[in-house]
Order: sequence, then structure tokens, then C-alpha cells
Amino acid sequence: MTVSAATRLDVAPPEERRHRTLWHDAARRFMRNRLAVAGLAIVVFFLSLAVFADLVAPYPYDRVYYDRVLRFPFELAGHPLGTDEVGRDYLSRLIYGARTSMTVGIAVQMVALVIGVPLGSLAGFVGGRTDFFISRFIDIMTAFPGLMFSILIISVWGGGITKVIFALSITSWIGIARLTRGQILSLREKEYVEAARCVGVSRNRIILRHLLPNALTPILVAISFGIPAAMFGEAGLSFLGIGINDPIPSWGKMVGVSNAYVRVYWHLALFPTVAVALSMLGFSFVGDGLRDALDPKMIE
Amino acid sequence: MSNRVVQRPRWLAYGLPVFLLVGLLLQACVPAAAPAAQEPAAGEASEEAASNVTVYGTELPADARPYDEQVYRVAANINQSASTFDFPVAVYNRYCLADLFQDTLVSLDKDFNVIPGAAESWDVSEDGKVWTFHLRPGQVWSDGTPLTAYDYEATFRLTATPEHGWDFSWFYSFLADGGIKNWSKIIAGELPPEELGVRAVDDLTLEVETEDVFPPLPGVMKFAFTLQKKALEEHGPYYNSSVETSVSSGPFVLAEFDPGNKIAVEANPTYKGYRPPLLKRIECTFMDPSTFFAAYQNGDIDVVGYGALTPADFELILRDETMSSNYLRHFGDFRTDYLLFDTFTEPFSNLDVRKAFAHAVDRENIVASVYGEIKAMPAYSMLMPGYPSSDTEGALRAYQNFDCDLANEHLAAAGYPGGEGFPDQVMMLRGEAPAMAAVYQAVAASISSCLNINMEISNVDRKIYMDALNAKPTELTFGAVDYGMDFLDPANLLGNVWKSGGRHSWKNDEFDSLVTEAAGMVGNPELRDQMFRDAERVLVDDVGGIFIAHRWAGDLMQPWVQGTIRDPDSQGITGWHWGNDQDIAQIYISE
Amino acid sequence: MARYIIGRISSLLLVLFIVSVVTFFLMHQVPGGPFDETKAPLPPAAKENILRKYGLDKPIHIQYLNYMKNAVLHFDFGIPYQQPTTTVTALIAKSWKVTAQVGLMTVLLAFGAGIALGVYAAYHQNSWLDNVTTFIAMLGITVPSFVIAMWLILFFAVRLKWLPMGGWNASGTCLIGSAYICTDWIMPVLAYALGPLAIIARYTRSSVVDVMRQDFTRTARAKGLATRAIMLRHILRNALIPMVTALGVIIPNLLTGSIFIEAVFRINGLGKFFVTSIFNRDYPMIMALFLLIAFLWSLTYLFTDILYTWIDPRVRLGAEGGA
Repeated sequence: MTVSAATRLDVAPPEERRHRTLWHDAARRFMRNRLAVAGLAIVVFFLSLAVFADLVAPYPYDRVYYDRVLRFPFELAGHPLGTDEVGRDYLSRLIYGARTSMTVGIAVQMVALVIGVPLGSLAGFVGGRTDFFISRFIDIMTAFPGLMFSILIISVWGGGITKVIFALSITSWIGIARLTRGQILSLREKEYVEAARCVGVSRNRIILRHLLPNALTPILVAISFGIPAAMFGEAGLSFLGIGINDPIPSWGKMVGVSNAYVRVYWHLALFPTVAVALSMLGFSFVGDGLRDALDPKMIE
Repeated sequence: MSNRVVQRPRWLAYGLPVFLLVGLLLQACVPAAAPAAQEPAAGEASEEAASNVTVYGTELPADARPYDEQVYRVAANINQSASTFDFPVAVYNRYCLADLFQDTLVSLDKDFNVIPGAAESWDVSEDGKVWTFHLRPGQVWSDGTPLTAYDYEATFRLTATPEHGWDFSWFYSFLADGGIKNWSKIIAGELPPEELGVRAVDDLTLEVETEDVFPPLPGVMKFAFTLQKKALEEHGPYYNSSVETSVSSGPFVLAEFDPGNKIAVEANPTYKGYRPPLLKRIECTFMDPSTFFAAYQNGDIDVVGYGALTPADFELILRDETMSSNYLRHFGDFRTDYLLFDTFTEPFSNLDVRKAFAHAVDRENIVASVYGEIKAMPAYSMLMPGYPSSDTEGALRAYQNFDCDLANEHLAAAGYPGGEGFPDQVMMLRGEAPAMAAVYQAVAASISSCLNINMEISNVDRKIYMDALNAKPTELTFGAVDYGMDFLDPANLLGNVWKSGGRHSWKNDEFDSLVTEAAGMVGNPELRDQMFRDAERVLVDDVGGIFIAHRWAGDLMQPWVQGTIRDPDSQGITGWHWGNDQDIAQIYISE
Repeated sequence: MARYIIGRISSLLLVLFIVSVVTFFLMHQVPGGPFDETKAPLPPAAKENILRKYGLDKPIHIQYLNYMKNAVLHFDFGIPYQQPTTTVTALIAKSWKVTAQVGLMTVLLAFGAGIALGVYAAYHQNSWLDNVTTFIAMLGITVPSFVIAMWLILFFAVRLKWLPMGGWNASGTCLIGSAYICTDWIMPVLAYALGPLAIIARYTRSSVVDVMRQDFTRTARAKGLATRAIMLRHILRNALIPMVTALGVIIPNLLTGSIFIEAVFRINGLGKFFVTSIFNRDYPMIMALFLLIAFLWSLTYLFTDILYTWIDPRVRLGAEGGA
């Protein structure tokens, strides 16, 4: 599979020569990394579950069968993973749960990107008082206990998927901002930036065309780790019973509820935990693979 | 310095983890649930004859263990906040083994009839507003001080004092006509506490004056607890939170006080009241509720309340013959789960919409499969069968029974044929635990699939829920809640709860006038009963709420716990009965 | 150095101040107060009495100033509404005992096993144990602790019935008397330790591998020093820096306890107050916990930074803005 994927990339029509080699090399390195490919497969699998849940899931996530409450896997035909405490197909809820997790994970990181990158670049490039204020702001935000802060926020504004995304976003951008600032700080002293500045290129253009593209790699890696972190955050809040509204399924909520049933109904705990673990592993492998693949030191 | 760095990792890297792992593995092999069995003392048969008499000189039943072993062990929720033993200090914040240090003026028998407690009799004035309670003579506190009406008077005044900020002070205002005279004004600081309608006439006579005629008042005096006036003046209201300053006029005295760990009480040797206990001692150990059931299975505690049992625990109980026969199911506080809405605004201002919802809930199936029949019975009205004036005949069933076709007819009549155009709904839950959240998910699914409308459930924390519910106008469009009675009269569960201007945004003039008139009616119990029944019919017909289920409470007892607690009432229900203070005194530990 | 530390401490105080302001005003924004009656609307007079009793009737900025005055001058953080017979400081101290026990056992296991596994894996690269270590590390880093906890429960408590479902010194058999090192310690500590253990093992392994490739190690080895001596003297010392970084993340987390581990295993520690104090609108507890966490984190950052210079003089303080 690795080989065929690499070959396919090889024959892809060349568009812009200089860019092609960079990404081409990275893709090839990535594809040689077996764990990364496995991780990518997992991520693609869960993403497609999330996107095509309506087609894949055997039942709607909220269809209740009163005569099928708390059945074990394979006890009834048509419910391979059994049913939950309300009599809903567990497999279907697991599949729709992927949609919740992915939505939250990706949305939170998008927010982080939109807030963190501009703030970080501003601090790094402008420096001086701007940098001072932004950095202190970042310091203060770091000191806030993230999870408790999210609980408080949700208590103020209520639960639901958008509120959860909002609550998690409040602290998610900090790492990205700090990272971007560091990257810009080190890049702006580089010769080609000096050169561009000497030629009279505008500040915005320097940031957008020269600094950000070069800072992009570590940000990309950070995002790939940030998605599972946000999924974890959602799972955690839902586990505590203050995240996603019923009847929308969420893996974390399924784990949290299963705590009361686990002594007898083990399947309620087993499947969502496996789903959480697998998706986390998948994203981490992809993140590791990306970092290795995009690391200039790895070019030999 | 480098030496230190070198030295530390050597044992840290090898020794410690090996030690830890070996330790962990060794312990892992020890079976966790080694039952600490209740071994019957074999060699003590000879002493038994001499030791089966209580401190009051009563002989224990024949199958009882020796008096020294009459120890009843209960568990307390270690996570629950608590600050006092005493109802007059903070009702919602009491330790386990509360309410054993005094007798209330009245008590209830198993059929919920009001019977004498600390007061041996009472009578009412001509105008029906002043009640006179006569205390049993000879009652004393454990320090030798006589128990007098002045103790009750001082306690009532304390609870009404604004600075005391009593968490139950809403109650006597909530009773409206039945409230104690001047209560609300004293709470508001407009009158001094001395103006309260509770007065000691002499040592053994206490007068209670109400705002207006209120026949159920003696039942309300189930809440007439007392503190010792002397101790109150010397040590303040928290005097019971220390073995040294604690005094009791009840069947037990404080013996050990280590909250968060263990609280123990012992039979009060000076007790002269109506319920001298057979038990020598009650011990309350603080644990997490999730470990109650395991502790019960280990034989470490003698009882587990239904609230601490998870659905999985119930499954295990039902599978086990001994446990299921020792699960004493009872009325609890006649709790009913129901849906409520804001009937003052669209769409629930439309009666057809409310009827459509009411007929769309498949209660029977939800109770059978999601609650489990051990925990609930389907409800079609507010009052649980067994409660005064309740619909035991099922005459109200038809108003809210499950009938999906009928539900859809109503929805169509309301202008939403087939659910078309009906706004998406959010059902608010009041911080429900998983088991109840599952029930309401099934209810929501029943409604949404029958009526083809979208419904989400938002399980918010209790404070947010009550804030939204109590806001005027209400901020709660549609939600689910439960209510258990405060005292045993329909004037409470129908009157106080459903009368307009209270917690619900539903108003029906016929209902209001029926319950108001019935609440204050004297001399005609049949008519009073019929009026409450009519009122409840109005409630279900006008769909003030959608009634889902009446909750069965219950206690899982050890087989060796015996006594009148196992006797059935006239309806065949055993176990604990609300307001019954006698059963605790009759509990004993058998072989 | 002194100037640097003074600067850092003053910025720590600034952070604490801002955290206190934001938390105080935010928590009063949460709907519902600490003493809302749950049955019926409270008569306004009764509600006022209760609010007055706890000083909540005053304007919010006055409440804040009063709170800060007591906190700073008398180190008095108030009375927790959940347990009015004790004080916030006493309540935190009491529940911290359990959390500290969990934390201590976790640190011991995480560092002991983590370093051992990391060193072993580095020396036996690509052996089966190395692969197992990598796998465990992956699990520990990526999988949430409550998931691991659930697996442990499913396997050891539900399936094998070896260990109690939960509790802390509450169920199972104990090694010391009936109160210490009980079987109910095993699963929480394992579930909690796996994450930090994985991080430590990974750091140790990679830094040991790194150092082993360095010239000075080769030189040392060429000089004929025994393998173990090389490892301990040179390698571990150099591997210490990433360890300090790991410590900086792990320690404050362990000190404040895990909401999840304590929830799954029903441990009565500090963690549960993170949720219950918000649910109960226990303002003094919320404030104390937020400040405590902010303080611990800021302090840890400060300490790790100072520790860096102590371990490795090449690191200069204040070179790059700091944490």
C-alpha cells in the first residue's frame, strides 16, 4: 500500500516545480513511516464514519426500542454491539459519536488557528509593547485551569456542541500563538527576510509571503496534535455530564454514563473507550509522522 | 553533586519499580471481596440470658442477638455536604443519624395517620386557627433538664429569625393559609421573632396559631423539631456537633462524632418518650455511595437506600433471591416524575399541543424497560396511589394515556399536521444522573417519534434549572422534573405545587378555586376529598403537566435486620414509611 | 539572578491578581446562587436573609475587595458553602491528603517504572520490550486516563473480580492495617500513572539514545569505561533536562488531582471539588481552587526555569522572555 501510494504521488502531474519537491519529499517520507500510514488510515476511517454516518449507521442514533434495552453484543440480530440503557443501537451511536468528536476536534483547532496565528505573528513580528502585552496575556491565560474554566464557561452559557467548541477554544489557541510567535521571532532575523525588507517589501507581505509559509510546518504539526486534544476535552466534559446534549451521542458521554452500568453491562464501557483510544492514537501517529516528514533535519 | 545524581537513579531506576510492581502484583492476587462475614458468636450462649435486656429494661425478641451486639450499621454519602444534626438549623444540610436527638410533636403511623409524638394530644380553637399541643409529662433532656414547651418556642423563634437564614423558611410562607401566624413578616424583618404564632403557655402546653383555617396543621407539626433552649443560649445552634455539648431528648445520644469518617449514637438512657429503642447503638460510616452496595455485599453495612444503587446493582439484586426478598420497596415521599411547560406562550399555550404531547408518552413501556418496575409505576396524574385523595381506581388514566393516533389528531388540530412546522424543542433536565437521564431520553424519543418533531435534551445543573423555572415569567419552555411531598395532604401536592403563582407556569381558575377552598375546609372530609379529586381531574385534563411515573423508593436490608419495618401497611407495602419515627426504635439484629 | 527571580515573582503576583478578578466576576455570572431553594420560588425576604448571612447582598466589587482583604491579610479564604462548619483552607487540606497519597504513589510509579523502561528500551533498541514500551508510551500519552481506568475496571474488577471497583482506603484488603496501601489503590494509581510514565519513558529513551550517539560518550567508551558507568555518569545527567520539563507538566497536575480518576474510582479527594464547587455555586471554594491551580502552575514554571540553569549552566535565564 505504501508503495502504491508513493507511486501514485510520483506520477502526479507536476504543477509548480519548486513546491512539488518539498511536499513530494515530505509525502514520501510520511508514506514510508508505517505507523503514520496506519494512523492516517484510522483518521480517514473515523472521518468517513463522521461524514457518512447517515449512510453507514444501521439505525438513527435516537431510535429507541423499548423491548431491547441493555442487550449485550450479538444477543439480538441487527445489534452487533448491543443496545444502550434506553434501547438504542450501540453501533449506530458509536458511529454518530465519531461525528461529534471530529466536529469538535476540527472546529476547535480551526478557531485556535484563526486566533492563535495572527496573534502570535503580531507579537513576534512587531515586538516591543505589542509583544509584551500579548505575551503577558498568554502567560495569564496559561495560568487558568483549563478544564475548570471550561466547566465554568459551560455553566454560564449552557451545554450543546457550539458551547463546547466555544469553551474549549478559549484556551486552545494559546499553544498555537506561543508557537507562532517563537517561529516568527527566529525567522525574522533570517537573511531572506532582511533582503526582502531592504528591497522595500511591505510588512504585511513579508509576514504573509515569507514568514508564515515557513512557520507553517510546526503549526501544522501542532494542529494535528491539537485535534485529539480537543476531542479529549469534549470527551472529558461530556464524561462529567456537562457537554453535548442528549440524544446526540458523544464517546465521552457514553463512557461517563457507562460508569453506572459497567458492573453488569461491560459493553457500554468497552466500545466507546476503544473508539476514543483508536482515534487518539490515529491522530497522534499522523502528527508524529507529519513532524518527522516535515522536519528539515530529516532531509539527507 | 555529580555523585548524588549518579547514586539516585540506580535504585530509583531498578529497585523502586521492581518493588512497586511486585507489591502491586502480590496485592492483585488477593481476592478483593473477602467477605467480612457476620459470624454468629458461638460461645456466648450462656451469657445471652442475662444480656438480652435493653437499658430500658425491655426484653429483646427471642431471635435477637445479645444486647451488646444490637448495633445497626448504616452508610453516609461522604460527598454530601452536611453541617448539622438538626432540622431547625439547616434542613438540606444534615448529617446521617439526624433527627434522633428529639421527638417531633407528632408522628405518623404506617398508613400515614397523624399520631401523638412528643405531644400526647392536641385540640383546636373554635375559629380553627389556634392549635394547642399538650406535651407528654416527664420528658427530659439527657443532661437532666426537663423538656418543655419553651424549648419548642425558642426553636421556632430561631428558625424565623432573619439572621438565622433558615433554608426551610420558605415552607411556612409556601403554606399560605396554613402558615404560622406572622411568619412571612418576621422573615422579612418587619416584626420581631417574639410575634411568631408559636407560644408556650406553660411547661407542657404549646400554642400554634395559623394565618387562616388550616385543617392539616397537625400533620405539618411532623416538622416541629426542638432544640434545647438552654444549650441554644449557651452554645448556639451548632451545639450538637460535639459530643461534649450535645444534648438529646430523643431515643439516642451522640457517642462519636467524626464527620467524614464515622458518627455513632447510643441508646439514650434518660429517654422517657414514646419510642424507646431496641438497638443499643447505630453507627454511620462515611463512604462513597458507589461503594455502598459492595459494602452491603461484604456485610459491612446493614442497609443501602435505593438512591445509591446503580442500574447494574438493581440487575444483580433482581437476579439474587435473598437480596430481592430483602429489598423493601416503599412509597418514599410519593415522588412523581413529570413534564412541565410554559403554558403562557406558544406553542404550549395551545391545549391541543399539550394533549398531543400527553398522549405521545409510552409510559407503560418506559416504566417496564427503562425504569424497571422495581423503581416506578406509570403515572397518569400527580398523586401516587396511596397518597390521600389519589386516583387509586385509574379514573384519570384516559386523560393522558399513550395513544399515538389520538396524539397526532390533537397535533393536527393545533395546526401542526404530522408535526409539520412544529418548532424544535429542548427538554431541560435538572441535573439528572444517568439512570433518570435515560428515562427522559426514552420519553423524548417517544414524543418525537410519535409526533415527528425534533427534540434535544439539555441536562443542566440544578441551580440553573431552578433559576429558569422560578423566574417570572418563566425561562423554562419545556422540561422534566420530579416532586416529592412536603407533608401528607393533597393541599401540598396539588395546592402548594400546582396553584397558579407557584412554581409552574400554568393557570386554571377552576383548579385554583377548588384547591383553595378544599385546603381550608373543615368538618366535611368526604367533600374535601372529592374536591381534591376534581381538582386533579382538571389538572390532567387541562394538561398542566404530563405525568410520567410515580417513583418507588426502597431499601436493601440485610436479612438479619428485623422489626416492624418489615410489617406491611394496609396496602401491603413494607419498609420505611415517611414520617414514621417508630420503626427505627423497633429495629433489632437477629441471628 | 535575584533580579530575574524578583521580576518573575512579581509577574506571578500579577497573574494571580488577574486570575482572581476574572474568576470572581465570571463565577458570579453563572446563573443561580449558592442558596437557591429547589422547591418553590423563595420569598424575597427569606432569600435576602440568606444572602445577607453570607455577605452576598453587597455590590460585587465590594464583595471582591472583602474577599481579597481576608485572603491576603489573614490568609482566610472563607467558609465553603458546601460544608459551613469548616473553612476552605481546612477542607482543601483535608481532601488534599488523599489526593497527595494518590499523587505520591503515582509519581513513584511513573518515575520509577518510566526511567527504568526508558533506559532499558534505549539500551535494547528494537527488542520486544522496546516495542512494548513504545506501545505503552503511545497508549499512555494519547489515551485519556478515564479510558484506561475503564479498561482496568473492566478487566480487573468486572472480569477477573480481583480488585474492588473503586474507593480509596475504602474497600479491599490493605497492606498496612486497614487504612494504607489497600488493593483499591492499585487501579487508580496505574490508570493515573500511565500517562506520566509514558512521557517519562519516552523522554528517557530518546535522550539516552541521543546522548549515546554523542562524541563524549563514544570517547568515554573508547577510554574503556564500563557501560553502566557511562550510562549513569554521563547519560542520565544529560537526560535530566527533558525530565525537568516533564516534571514541570506532571507535578502540578498530580498535586491538584485528577477529576477523571477521582470520578471513575470514586476517590474522595480534591478533584471532585472542581466540579461540585461550580455546581453548588460554592464561591469561596471556586476562588480558592482557581487561585491554587494558577499559583501551582506559575510556581512550577518558575522552578523549572531555575532548575534548568542549575542543571545546565549553558541555559541563560531571561534570554527569551521566559514561560
